[in-house]
Amino acid sequence: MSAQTVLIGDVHGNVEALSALLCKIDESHASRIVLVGDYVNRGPSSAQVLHLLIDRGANQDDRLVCIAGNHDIAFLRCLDHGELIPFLRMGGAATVRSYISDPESDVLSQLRRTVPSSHVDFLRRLRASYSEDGLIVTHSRDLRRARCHSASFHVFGHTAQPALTPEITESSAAIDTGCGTLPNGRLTGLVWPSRRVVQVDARGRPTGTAATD
Amino acid sequence: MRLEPARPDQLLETVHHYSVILNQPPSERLCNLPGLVRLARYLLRTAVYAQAMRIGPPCFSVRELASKFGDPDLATLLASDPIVTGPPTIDILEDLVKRLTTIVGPLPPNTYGSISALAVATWDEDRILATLAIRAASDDENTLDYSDLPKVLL
Repeated sequence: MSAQTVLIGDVHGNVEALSALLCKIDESHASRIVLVGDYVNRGPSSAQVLHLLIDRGANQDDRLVCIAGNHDIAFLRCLDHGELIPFLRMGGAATVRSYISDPESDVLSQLRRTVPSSHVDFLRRLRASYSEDGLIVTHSRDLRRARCHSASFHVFGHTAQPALTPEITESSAAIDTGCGTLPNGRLTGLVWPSRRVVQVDARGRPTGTAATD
Repeated sequence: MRLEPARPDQLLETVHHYSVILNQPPSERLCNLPGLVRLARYLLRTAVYAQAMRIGPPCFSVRELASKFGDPDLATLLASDPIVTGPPTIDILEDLVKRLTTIVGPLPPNTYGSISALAVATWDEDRILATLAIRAASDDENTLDYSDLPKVLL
């Protein structure tokens, strides 16, 4: 079987969906998994999402690659530079709640004490982009943060697709399908190079999405 | 969209509920003065409009309200134009809160001790309260180019 890479869309604090999708991907024996970022915010289990990815060796080698989303960068800026309010404006309260059940008046200090150093290290190690033959993966459609590339196919997340299915063209795929964001949002896995789509719903149940070539 | 007739008593209850955000320790008030003044003005304006509805035909401008209640300062205090209201100060905040509590009653107790703690604590159960609190802690509602917070209309 030829090597396959599975690209996963924005997770947004839904560990149930991520866990189920990873199980499905494990069954397919993919050689690599790449997540497009936005692991935190909006959904209720951001801390658990980070824990799961760290547990599976995220960014330790090229088998599980995690790209930085703008929500993840905002979380790190909150912890590093104290930018709590901008983070809360992005739906960060859900992330804070996933670490802290009973907030104290100085929430920022409490959050800094509570977030494990492994989670902070994870956020620091997130990559700006990933590329392999013919493929470039970034968080958003904007390719400026990616290194020089000559890929013919661009995969990204960031903007939730209202139809809940990825928008796939000849040269790109938008794979944020509203997990944690839209009512009935789904988490998408896009298999490269076949461009087959695997999806689970917010509870981690398969959605029966048809294959796309 | 079909608009329901306004229910002034319900509006006043809602304003009272959200006024908990204004109940902050002095240091927190000082740190978040622009946002708290903005929120206090918004809540007082809503409360005064609701009060006007309760006692007669509704008013449609702060000038009308000032005239109806025989209180010329209301026109300035409740204006939305910062050129008219002037920069936020502790005195303005205290005046707004004093007037608000006269209408809706004392501010509900805030057991969390800060705006951000209140926002985080209420995020799951009372999203509008949390949203208003986060807005009150923001320097300027228009300066951030990325916000997940919904508009709040009382």
